[in-house]
Amino acid sequence: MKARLLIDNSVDDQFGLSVDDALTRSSSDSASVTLRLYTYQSCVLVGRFQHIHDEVNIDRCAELDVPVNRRPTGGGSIIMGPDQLGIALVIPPDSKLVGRNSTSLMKSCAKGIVRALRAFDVEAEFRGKNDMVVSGRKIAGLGLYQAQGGGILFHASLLLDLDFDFMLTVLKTAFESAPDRGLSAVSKRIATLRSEVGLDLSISDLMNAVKLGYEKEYSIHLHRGHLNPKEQSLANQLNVSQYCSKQWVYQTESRFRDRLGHYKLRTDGGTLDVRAIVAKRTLKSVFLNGDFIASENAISDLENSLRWHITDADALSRTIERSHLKNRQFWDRISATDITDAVLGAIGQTEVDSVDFVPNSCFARSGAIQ
Amino acid sequence: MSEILSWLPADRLYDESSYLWVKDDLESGNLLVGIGRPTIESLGELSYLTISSPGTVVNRGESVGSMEAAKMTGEIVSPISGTIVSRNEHVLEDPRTASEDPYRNGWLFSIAPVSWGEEKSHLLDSASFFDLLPEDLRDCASV
Repeated sequence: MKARLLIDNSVDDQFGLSVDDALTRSSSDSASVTLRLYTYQSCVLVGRFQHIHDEVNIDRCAELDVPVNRRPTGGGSIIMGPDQLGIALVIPPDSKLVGRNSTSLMKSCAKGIVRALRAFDVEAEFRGKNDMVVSGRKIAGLGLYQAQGGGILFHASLLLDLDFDFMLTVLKTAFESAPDRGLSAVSKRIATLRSEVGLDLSISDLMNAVKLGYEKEYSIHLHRGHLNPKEQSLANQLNVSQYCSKQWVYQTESRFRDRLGHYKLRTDGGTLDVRAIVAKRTLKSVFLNGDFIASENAISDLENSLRWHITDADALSRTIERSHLKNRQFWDRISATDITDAVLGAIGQTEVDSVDFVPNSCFARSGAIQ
Repeated sequence: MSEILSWLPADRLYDESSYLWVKDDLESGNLLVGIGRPTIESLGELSYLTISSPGTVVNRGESVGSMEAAKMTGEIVSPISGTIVSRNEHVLEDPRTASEDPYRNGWLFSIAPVSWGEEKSHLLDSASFFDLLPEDLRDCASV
């Protein structure tokens, strides 16, 4: 089966986003899939419903001349630049290439990337809501968006490399709220291809591997192509009407903001220091810090299992129990009950503290590892 | 069959494209629109939701809002043409209500239709809609 490959280098934020959006909206005109591989000029992209002032150091971005924009896909804020590969897989409404059930769609769309990374002997896996991880450390953030006509956009930001200093400068990460944690805590939670494979890997090498990964995974042949006139016209239109619009970028459409709760619990195994980010009754993320001893994977598994979880105490307790049971040998004198108490304590504090200022960066989201 | 009826109540119609349900609101004479169980099974819990303001005129197939669920963001595409009369403020304040009680308190918006007679024919009853769902979603009805 034939499919189209688009490659763009160093696009600006507005062009990058408007082309993806235009491809998705016009995908009902085509039966074939489009894979777009591209890099951005340095920029910050926030998720569809995020409050930009909570996520981004707007003043620092202005000083550094770093543009900020908003994706149509959900999830956390990210930085994009020459060392982060943008991957957009556009699936027409009637395509049989992947299923239409979102439960399996994200995983299915991510398989091309998993296969690409395997070419570098890097074993990645899909985990949680929308993370791709290597040994528990995040290497790509994933997102899905369904446009009005039924076309689907799968977005991924795959890290060839990452300038952690720059990220911590322009994004208000969770680690800013945890002054005892810094750069090393962030870098422990993130994997890049260069950290896994070596410094001589180029973005072009990665593009080739991802192209081959999708070709093999879906048994398709990707032909280098271009935007057709209709797509180009729609992209130009969206560029002006949406992605250059302050109304889109700085919107605050959601009725409520995320809230942060912080709770410390002393246990036999050490202190559990938990930060919870809650959007109404959804527990968006949990950050687990402290002086306890546990394996990276056990903490990562727990944090991922709690992402986008309902805040109901019984349901949380069951989920924590399951994750703890699976990794019980990796928790040193920390029980599932301890963790549940600490998480519920942090959630309870979101009501008390009412801290509406909650960063939720895509890559710097989780807590430090012991 | 009773499982299917609680999963897809027979007292309303369903849109094959948007997976939204449409029901006569006998009190007002308008139509109520909401998400159904198949959407919740497929997308996961709703966490953010926007719906266009009352007075907005919308055509069938056009976006009337947007949402972020656990697994995807997307547009809420109106299954009928008309004017938005009201939005469910409770659902906007707490989108999980739409997931927890989709057929009663979780309705999304009320709309005064302009071509109901014609557009009604594009919608499906619960049994026909059920038959068109992907197999993995149909399986959820009996879980």
